[in-house]
Amino acid sequence: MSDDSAERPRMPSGDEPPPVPADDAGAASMPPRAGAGGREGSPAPSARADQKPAPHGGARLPHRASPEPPPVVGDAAPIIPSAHPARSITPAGGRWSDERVEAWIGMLLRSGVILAAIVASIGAVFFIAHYGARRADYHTFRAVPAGLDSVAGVVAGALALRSRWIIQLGLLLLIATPIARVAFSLVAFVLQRDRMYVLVTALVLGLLLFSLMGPGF
Amino acid sequence: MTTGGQMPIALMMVLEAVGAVAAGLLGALTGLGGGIIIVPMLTLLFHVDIRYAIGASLVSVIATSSGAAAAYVREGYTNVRVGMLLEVATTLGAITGAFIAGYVSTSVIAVIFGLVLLFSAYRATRPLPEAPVVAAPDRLASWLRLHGDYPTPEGKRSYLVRRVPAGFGLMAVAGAISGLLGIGSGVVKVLAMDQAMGLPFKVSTTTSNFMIGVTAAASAGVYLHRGYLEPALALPVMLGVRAGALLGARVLTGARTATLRRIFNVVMVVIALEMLYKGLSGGI
Repeated sequence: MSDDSAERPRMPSGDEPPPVPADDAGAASMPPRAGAGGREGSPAPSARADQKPAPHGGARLPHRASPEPPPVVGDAAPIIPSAHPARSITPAGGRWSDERVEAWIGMLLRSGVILAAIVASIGAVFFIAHYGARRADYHTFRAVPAGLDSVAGVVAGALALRSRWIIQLGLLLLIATPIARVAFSLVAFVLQRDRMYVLVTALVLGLLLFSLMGPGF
Repeated sequence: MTTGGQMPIALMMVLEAVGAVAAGLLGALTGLGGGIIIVPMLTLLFHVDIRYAIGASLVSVIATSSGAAAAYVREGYTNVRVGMLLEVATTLGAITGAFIAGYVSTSVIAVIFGLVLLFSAYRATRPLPEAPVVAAPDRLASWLRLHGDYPTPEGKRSYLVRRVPAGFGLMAVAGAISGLLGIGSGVVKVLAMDQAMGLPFKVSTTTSNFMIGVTAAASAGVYLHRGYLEPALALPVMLGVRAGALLGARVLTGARTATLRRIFNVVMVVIALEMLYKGLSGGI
């Protein structure tokens, strides 16, 4: 990793200076939490054996051997009710705790998708009104017209109220959503003074912006 | 349907949206996501050039991932550090894959697509073997502070992470597949985190979901500049897949779906073979 040198002095232990939430510092240096009932807590086989019959525990988490598919998509896949007792009493709270950041990120993602869908749909209404009766021909690839293939071009066209460009602007907003999420994580890592992950996240963000805004390929 | 190239644009957009809802439903049903169905649907059924199809599919992948991640992220399963670190690999892979996509023939892409589809169908039928629990802290993973915890009804349960380089390598492959084919490649991502790195299954799937959107956004830039993103094709797909995924998550739960899933697996194999055939015979 490129952050090698910056982080090397701290390497021997995962202990971080105070600014990092207690939660994270602990996770690295201290192996299992005794009270957490973790699989790792006790020697593997027995820990696993007595974990399975848990009456209500196993019911909600999808078990690997069950025929249920992995919940890769789908919002309502089995999710534990949001009031986790352990969560609310965690002392690691703090303004920039991982939990708070995650909550904001969730909101950001949802709003991004909705906004993108609204903008693109508005464009689509006008697009269909004007060009809906034309014959579709997407069998031969010709690349979209100039202006529709760059961020600046799309913004300019959308401002000129060209319907196809407005749809594309909506799609760009959608593409920007995960990028904004990474940018948000970057800010959070900066505020947590987590230098290693500031570097990692900045690298990811740089790659994303390079791909979207870069000179093209 | 064979005259897909001739119908009015408005009709095509509507039919495409309907197909995309079905794809989103099936994606939610199998846990594979909608993208893997969209490309064959657009190319085989609507006779759309595979490059437009890949662009439209990729956009729908972002919509599905972001929408689902919004729900997951708040629940505290997602391991943001693992996700962010591995995203270095997936974004690099995705940009490379999207770059390569511009230089290989569409037939080659169709063949690779068919193979990935076959592999995914195979994976979907086979539950993953139980990955051994990581007992001792791995040095690199500790240094990177990747260990985490996730909520259970009994409180937080912590876990350890291992084999970071293997996971990183697999993620680069997942990214390249995603960039080349316009799919989320969640199957490979989950393999990397669950099997290679020892993350709990639920954490793997949610973190994978979070990463899929970022990976897809990395290729989307390249696709945009190449002119693969045709708004009239991508929009109905995006709205349809998202609606289908939402609907699927609501209605397709429970054991009754087992048969449906089995049927769908056969359909996937058939589609895969047709993609392979079309690719090899130069039909795509």
